[in-house]
Amino acid sequence: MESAAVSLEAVEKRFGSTVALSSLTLEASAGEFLVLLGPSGCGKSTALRIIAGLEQPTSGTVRISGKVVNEVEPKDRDVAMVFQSYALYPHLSVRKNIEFPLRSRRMPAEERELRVKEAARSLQLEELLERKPGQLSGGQRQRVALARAIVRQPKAFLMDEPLSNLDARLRVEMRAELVELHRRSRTTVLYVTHDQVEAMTMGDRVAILRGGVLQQVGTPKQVHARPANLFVASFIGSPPMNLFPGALLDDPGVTLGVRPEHFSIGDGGPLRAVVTLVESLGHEHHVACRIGGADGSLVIVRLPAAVSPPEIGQQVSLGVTDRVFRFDSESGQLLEAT
Amino acid sequence: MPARVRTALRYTVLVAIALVVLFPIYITVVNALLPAETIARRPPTLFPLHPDWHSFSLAWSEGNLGDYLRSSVVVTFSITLAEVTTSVLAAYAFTFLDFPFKRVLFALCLATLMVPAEVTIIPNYRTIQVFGWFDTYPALIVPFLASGLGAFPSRQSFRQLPRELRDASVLDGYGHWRFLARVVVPLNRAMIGAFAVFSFLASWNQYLWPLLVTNTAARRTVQVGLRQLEGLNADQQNVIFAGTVLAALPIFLTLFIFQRQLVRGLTAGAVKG
Amino acid sequence: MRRRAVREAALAYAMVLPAFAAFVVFVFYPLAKTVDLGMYRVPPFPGLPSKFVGLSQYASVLSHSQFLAPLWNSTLFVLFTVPTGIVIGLAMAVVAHRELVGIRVFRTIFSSTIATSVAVASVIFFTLLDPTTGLFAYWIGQRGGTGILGNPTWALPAVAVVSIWQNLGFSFILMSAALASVPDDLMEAAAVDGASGSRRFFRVTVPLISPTLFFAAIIGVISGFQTFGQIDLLTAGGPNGHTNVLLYQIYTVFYENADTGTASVMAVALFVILVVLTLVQFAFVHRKVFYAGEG
Repeated sequence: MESAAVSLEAVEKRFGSTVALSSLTLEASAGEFLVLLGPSGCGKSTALRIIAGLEQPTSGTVRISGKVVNEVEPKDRDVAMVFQSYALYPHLSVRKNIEFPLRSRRMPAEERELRVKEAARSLQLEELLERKPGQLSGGQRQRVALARAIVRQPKAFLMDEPLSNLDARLRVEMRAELVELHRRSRTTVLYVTHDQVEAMTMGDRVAILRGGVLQQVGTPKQVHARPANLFVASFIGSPPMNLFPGALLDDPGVTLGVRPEHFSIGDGGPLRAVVTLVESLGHEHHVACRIGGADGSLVIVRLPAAVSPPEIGQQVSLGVTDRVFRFDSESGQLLEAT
Repeated sequence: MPARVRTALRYTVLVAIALVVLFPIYITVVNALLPAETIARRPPTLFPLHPDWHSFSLAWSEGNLGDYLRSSVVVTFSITLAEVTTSVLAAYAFTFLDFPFKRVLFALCLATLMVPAEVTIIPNYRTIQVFGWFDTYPALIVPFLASGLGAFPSRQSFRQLPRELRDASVLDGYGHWRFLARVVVPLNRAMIGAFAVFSFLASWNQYLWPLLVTNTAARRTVQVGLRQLEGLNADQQNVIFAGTVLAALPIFLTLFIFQRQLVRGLTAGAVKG
Repeated sequence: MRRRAVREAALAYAMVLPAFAAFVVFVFYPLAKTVDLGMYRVPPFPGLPSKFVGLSQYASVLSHSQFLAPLWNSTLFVLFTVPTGIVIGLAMAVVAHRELVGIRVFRTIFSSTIATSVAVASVIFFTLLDPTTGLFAYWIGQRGGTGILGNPTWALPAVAVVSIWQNLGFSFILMSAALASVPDDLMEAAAVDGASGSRRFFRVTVPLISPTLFFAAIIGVISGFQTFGQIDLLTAGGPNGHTNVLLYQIYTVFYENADTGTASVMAVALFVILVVLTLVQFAFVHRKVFYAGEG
């Protein structure tokens, strides 16, 4: 399968007076798994639909394999899309659904059959080929939607929150399966999600959007280690980063940030706190503590399973074991990470 | 009251109503099978022990029922096919396409629902004369090529389709026509079927318009033909009854086959849920 | 990308064109033309040109008994047919609502008149009410003379009975669907609360199906004002105009008297009546449209 670089250059999209995307420049290189991450309404789906050709950008250039495709029909862009609702044709069997994109392309029947077989096998759908989508479970429908995308052997996959309709367990399974699929085919994937865990576990790189504006692009490690601003800092990581606006430092211009796993409890650290809640998840503990009295700020501390957590109501001292982020309170930009 | 008595009472009521509803139909069939002179005899004959089918062939040939039925079939099938087609096409455009004056045109389409054909017969009669269509099939068919009654519910039904289905088919390389034929129509079969049955019934039962624009047996529809039949003498009453049976039979059969679609079509929207 | 938008619009126009061509020629133009024709007085002798008299013809026709009498007859006809039809249809639906062995057969019989047309029903009853040979005439003691259809007092009620019978099937189907939509648990709750059968029916069922009752009433009134076939086949407007309803009068004035002007004025009046009724219906159903009521 041939794989393509996909790029947006200064792409802008307005719906009436609302700006869905403002001057977005972003490139997925050939074979890359690029995740577009952000809360709902941030413009990530719009970006995907513009690449697919389902929406026209108000201005800017879309390229696939270096070729400008603004004027190219969606069907000629050679990209396949997987939708959040799967968009399976309810009246067609699984076989017909998978075959659907091939039928419009005047492919000889034998080759069609071969391709459908292959796609069905790689997604373990061979037993289900004669069923209708209504007779399938959510996970099976998801597989059919994927099969319909891969059967075309496109140059790039566009996936719009494909796992968000699955239950938690299936989602983890499908995540692994998608990564495996990408590793085997090495076809470019642009993957839209609002789930930072999906982004961090699947993407080669993650692009974080907010309100139509690109915040940061980088590998999962990079965006975790050096979040470009307060938004990225609080969006990436679970539980989210603890943020202390100016007051703590007596410098209102700076906001401090410490990740929950970078706190330690009880070895004579400088901060006095009272434990208000302990959640033990088995593989780790989340401890909520309040510092500086009853109206003080709440801090979440993540402890490894091996450490036994404190009791609720217990007085503890907190220490910082790893880096502290400093952000400009006004602009939100990262000043330094020490 | 013991349950068994109550059940017996229920059946009695059911049978009584059934008798009242069915009797006119029953006596029509009986009378069609009786020799003319027997019909007026009192007490009436309620069971034709020696059915006489002669009246049907008389109605068919001398009563011109053969001609009338042919006209009705041609006209009804044409109108049903045309109304379904124009409705589906217009509804598709209003649902899946963007074009200038879309809202205005849709409002106009809705407005036609307020103009029953009865109101416009005078100019339409003159239009038919001007076109030279008097006593022809086009006069009976062309005014009913489109119906707001079809376009509006079709659009409501099409709008229920997830938007992503259209997006997926765009990427799959399906243009509007093929999306319409392969996805929209198959997925709305039930609704289209209900409208088709309804349209079929309505055109089959038309009376005033065919009465106005036809004047020969070859073009009269069966409903208007019954008016000619009604004028037969009392000594041919069995032929009159046979004619009404022939006129109603196609609808009885159609409804028997398409019962479900009909109920759906008649009650669509009238009942919530 | 303008090109794509233009192509989409062209396709859209091609798709709506067949419908709109028919609408323009056979709905919008004739509607306007009817209003226009109402302003021309047609001379009593053929061959003379029509004369423009403006709205004065509307004033004169609409205040004349040749319009008011048929309007009254139509109103009476609606009053005779609509409430009775709904009540009987509902009663039949209630009787057939409970599941019993063979109930499907009864339901089919109860809806069977839907397969008759106005013309079929009218011809059947015309023949059965024939004063010399008709069985029904014999049973109701109307032998010889003019018969019930020739009786000034009873002709319109008789026509109404034929219409009610012909509509029973439709009314039954509608009411059955309404009853089927009443949730069982509501009825069970009412039963547990100790409400008697008739109390349950009037306090729970009727309010719940009142939208359908209202719909059936409006549809009935609309089609009542469009009554034509029964009159043409049963009484031809007689005796002495006692069954001459609005649409039949329009037909007679236009087709037999060739007075296009007067007939057009009446057609416009009929249109206004129907529009008001349709708007009431639309307001009620929140712009949903029904198939019912035609044919």
